[in-house]
Amino acid sequence: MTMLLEVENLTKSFGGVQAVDGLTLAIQEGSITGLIGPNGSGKTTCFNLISGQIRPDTGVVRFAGREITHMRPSRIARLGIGRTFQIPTPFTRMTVLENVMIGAFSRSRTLGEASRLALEVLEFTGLKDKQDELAANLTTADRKRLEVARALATGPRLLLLDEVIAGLNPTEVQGAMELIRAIRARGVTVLMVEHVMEAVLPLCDWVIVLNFGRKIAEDTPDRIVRNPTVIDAYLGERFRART
Amino acid sequence: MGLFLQTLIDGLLIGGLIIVIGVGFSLCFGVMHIIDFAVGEWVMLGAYTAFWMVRYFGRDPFVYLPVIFFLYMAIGYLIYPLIHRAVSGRRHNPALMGLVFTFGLASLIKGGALTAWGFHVRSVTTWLSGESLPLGFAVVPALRFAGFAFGVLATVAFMLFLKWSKIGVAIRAVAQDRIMAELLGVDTNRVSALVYAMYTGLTGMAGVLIGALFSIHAGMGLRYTTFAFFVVVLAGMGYVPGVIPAGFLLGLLQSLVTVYVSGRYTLLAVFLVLYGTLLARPRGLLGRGW
Amino acid sequence: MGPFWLAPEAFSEGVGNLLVGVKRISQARTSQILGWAMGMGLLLAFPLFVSSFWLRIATEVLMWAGLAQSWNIIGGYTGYLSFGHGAFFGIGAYATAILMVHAGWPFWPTLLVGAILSALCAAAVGFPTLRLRGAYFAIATWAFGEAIRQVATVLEVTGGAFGMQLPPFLNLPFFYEAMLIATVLTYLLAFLLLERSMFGYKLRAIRENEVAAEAAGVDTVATKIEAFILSAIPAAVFGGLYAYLITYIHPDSVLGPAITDLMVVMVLFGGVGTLWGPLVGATAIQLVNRLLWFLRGESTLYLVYAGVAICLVVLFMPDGLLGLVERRQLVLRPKENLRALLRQFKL
Repeated sequence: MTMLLEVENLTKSFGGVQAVDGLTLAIQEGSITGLIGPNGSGKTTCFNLISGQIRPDTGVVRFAGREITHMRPSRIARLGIGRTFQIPTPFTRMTVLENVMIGAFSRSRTLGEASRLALEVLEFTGLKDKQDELAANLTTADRKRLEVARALATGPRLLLLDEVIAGLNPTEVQGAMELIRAIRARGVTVLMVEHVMEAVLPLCDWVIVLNFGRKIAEDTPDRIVRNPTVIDAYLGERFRART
Repeated sequence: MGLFLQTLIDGLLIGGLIIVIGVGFSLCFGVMHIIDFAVGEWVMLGAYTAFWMVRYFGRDPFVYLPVIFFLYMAIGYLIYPLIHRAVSGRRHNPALMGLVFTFGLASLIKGGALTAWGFHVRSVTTWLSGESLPLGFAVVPALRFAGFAFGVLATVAFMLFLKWSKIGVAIRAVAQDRIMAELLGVDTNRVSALVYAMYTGLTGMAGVLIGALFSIHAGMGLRYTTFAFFVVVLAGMGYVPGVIPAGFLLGLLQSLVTVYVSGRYTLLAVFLVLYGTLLARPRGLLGRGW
Repeated sequence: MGPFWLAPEAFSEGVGNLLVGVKRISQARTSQILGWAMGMGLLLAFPLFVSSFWLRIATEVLMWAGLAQSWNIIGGYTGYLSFGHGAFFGIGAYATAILMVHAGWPFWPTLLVGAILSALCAAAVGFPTLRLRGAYFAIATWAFGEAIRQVATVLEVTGGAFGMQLPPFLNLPFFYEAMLIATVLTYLLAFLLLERSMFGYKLRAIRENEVAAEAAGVDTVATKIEAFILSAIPAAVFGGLYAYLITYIHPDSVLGPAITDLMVVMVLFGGVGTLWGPLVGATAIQLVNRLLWFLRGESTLYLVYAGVAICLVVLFMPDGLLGLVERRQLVLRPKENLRALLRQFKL
């Protein structure tokens, strides 16, 4: 099975801080993979390095066999990696539809076509009835949905989700989990950074654990929660007790 | 070779003075993320103030340096809340609005100066004007040397202040990480106001010396705004130590072009080097910029 | 997609929009068509029923409305402040002057040369700076404006500091009509290319949140450069027209910072990033300017008023006049409300 995303020996330091330290991982096409770890373990930096917002000091990122390490974020997005940001960044003075349309531009030839694609994505993510609402007026949960919708509109093969579930109430969490499953059903591979274990463990096929910018473990969810290194570094005793 | 050496020395001496302006300007950017388009106008105001003070109260312009420092510090401190309002978060594109505001401020000051003081070119003399200082291999105009000495002293004093004083530490903290500093209890607003005030004070003082060295006219601000931009981009935006080599480079460039080509081409040369830098090394020659 | 400096994307969309527009016009209600036609007719026939004093003022207002809109394209819609935009105006003015005086060219082709030169300069200045943050662009364009002014002051072919005298053509109605057409075309350009196109949305996305736009697949650098080139062209055309109109130009009159200042304040006052903001702002500011000139006759106060106006607008009404109107009406559909406002002005 070819790996959709391969990261080899990625390093990045900021000033004196080593954010990512020789990180190597691979994501299988069609999977939902979780990326977990304590705060400051380099998860968001890892995302930024993959999607091109920052350049690594050393290391290689390969997407579908093609090296994308030093490409610009817009090029990477057009090649098929979509991402959301931890703090949603909608285009506040535009409507929900317009926000998502922008994502569809890279694969449309006319405004009408982009509009249709956007509507389809809005329907899929459950935002259709809010299409004319200004993004500034949305609730946090809806803003997160909008982030996902905009990323989906680019027609990605791989979707990087940065803490989409954090901060949602239990109903919203369920809704988000269903959406992620539906996204995978559409053929999009998902890599998600998350702290909410109640969502990560049932959703993910595979979990990668980071600490101090390095991968300390990767395994299926049920084996990860029993992994003593992981429990020490991040999960804490309550998980060991639970399982 | 005598002319070349003389030109080099001239350039370095001027550079020393420009550094004072650059240091304040760069710190301003580092702390508040604002580019003050009015920087050259503060220079002009300092020069004119010295001129009028000498006109009305006599004495040597050097005497008025501290007065002008505190005067423009006060003015800067009073203006800062307006800048803060222009940049405050509830607007869209706060950074842009800050730029536009200082741009408007620059026009305002320049227009005011032109209207109040007309197009006449003034000058100011000090006891050092016309004096020379023999330095072994070259003869240096005493006033230029004084300007350089002032520049070095002011810069060193400022850097020491930043390094050793309590406020200086607070300023550096805010420049590095504003949010963190706020969380640690630093009143970032007051720090920003102080930085802006010190910058206007320093720049006003530099203006006095520039006024004594060159001519004073209402349109002179343009030149120094361009110089300040040049220095800050070459140094790396927000990287204050980089201002020192960048300032000297500017002095040298300006001096060489004035002597070997023509004074009318200096701004053009400065622009071309600025353009080249943005093309090749946008984060400054040392790559430590923002 | 072709080399971005020819702005192919924007233009191909613009042409597409034009065709759609033509189709819509043929389908529009007769009353609407008549309304617009009458409005245009009135504007065109304006010289017939006013004195040359008012005609002159109208000509100036039209020119500034067009200039402000050109700045609006890069400064308003895209959010990248071009603080040396007056340079393009000056390049157009000097192109016309030099070609007519030294090469004996007729007037109209000189406008084309000015436009091409400005476009090239915009591409050259934009290429390194639009890859960087907005602050660098502001500095670079400002420095560019000053550099061009220096060039004009030192070169012989531009007449140096003494400027140039063009062959006189004292026909005010001609200039009025020419400015009218140029301004209408500029607004049409803005409307087709920016209001209803993917290109326009991309610009606005860049203004709202450039990082998010990049992550959504928008090639922000190419788009910004295209916008900058598009904004330089009308400015150059107006420069050429102005040079011919005023007959005598020199570095301070067509390359001075006052020109950029006024463009900026007009767009800010009217409403950044809106289609009609520049028109509203230009009308208001230029009329006030002329009034003050009339009363006090001083030209340097220009700068003071422009500066004060910019500061006040930034402090109290950053969205401009049209922004105030929009907010008071709890908008979901800003375009509808703007049309309502317009009906009070034009038709």
